[in-house]
Amino acid sequence: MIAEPTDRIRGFLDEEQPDLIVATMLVGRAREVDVVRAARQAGIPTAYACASWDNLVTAGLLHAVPDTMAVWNEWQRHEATTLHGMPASAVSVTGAPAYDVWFRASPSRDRDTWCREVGLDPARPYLLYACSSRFITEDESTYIGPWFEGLRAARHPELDGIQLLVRPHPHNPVDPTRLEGMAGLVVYPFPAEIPVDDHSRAGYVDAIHHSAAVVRVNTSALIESAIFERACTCSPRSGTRRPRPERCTSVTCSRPPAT
Amino acid sequence: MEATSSRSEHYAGLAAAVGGATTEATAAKAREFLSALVRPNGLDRAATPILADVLEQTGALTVAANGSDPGLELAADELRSLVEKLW
Repeated sequence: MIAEPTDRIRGFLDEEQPDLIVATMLVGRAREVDVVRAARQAGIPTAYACASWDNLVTAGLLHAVPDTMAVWNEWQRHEATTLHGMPASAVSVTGAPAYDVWFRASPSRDRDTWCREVGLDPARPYLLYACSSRFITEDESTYIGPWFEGLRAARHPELDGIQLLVRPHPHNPVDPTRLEGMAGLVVYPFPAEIPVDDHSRAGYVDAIHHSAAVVRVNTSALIESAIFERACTCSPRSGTRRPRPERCTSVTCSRPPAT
Repeated sequence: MEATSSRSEHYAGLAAAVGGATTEATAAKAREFLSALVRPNGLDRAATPILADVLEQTGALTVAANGSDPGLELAADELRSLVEKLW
């Protein structure tokens, strides 16, 4: 990561003459590093809009230092200044722009329509299991079945007849054949979708909104569930790569009136 | 965040959530979480326009062409220090 920018990048900037270079990743194996370095050498302003909550603490030091930095919150401002040596005056707390879309979202289907569409019984509650990336877990289909059976065997009256909607992570496929034949369990959507257009976003919102609670190991579904005021718990999965498997955490919040 | 120490506690927490036993106090916790992590400038204030302002201000900066790179210098310092220790 200490190589000089390539002639190709320098030539690109020379040809395009941009007013500003914005990078969303300048740690780890980010490809934007060379572009920011070349821009600094050319006198083009550079900004780093931090893409995720843990980018400043889990992927090493900045490989290129931008003129300004936009971070989600005060924790990240502290990390930027104390860990990465950014001047405090160059760091702005903006919040997380990627989540604005979810604050604006609302369900597109009523609960009956949604449940029938995905193959769930509308008369019974369901949990949404939001799968995690490969970075966090192996194929979760090996775990979800026994976990769901354990949940039912716990015999809590509130969980009588509970259903499970498994939402695969778009970059970490699950093997649905391992979950076939389990009553009350549906894998949807399959193949997995990245919620970046109106259709796929609507499905994600409906899946969370109409659920009774959300379960996951470690995904951004924690944030989206909080936005939609759904309880979100972390399943105590064994074999998880990063979280502490002996503990399970939860953020619980009240359920708004059903629509 | 609430931590549980066993799977049975985890299931019990889910049962409480499904049964609607969670309270407005825990909803307030979720709002507090979002206010601190995702929207520190106010839950009703979108982050995108704030970021856009920051980017416009950055684009208006006059930046001198700089052959040096603080990141490279930092890495070089670290490497020098390591080499000296090993030598």
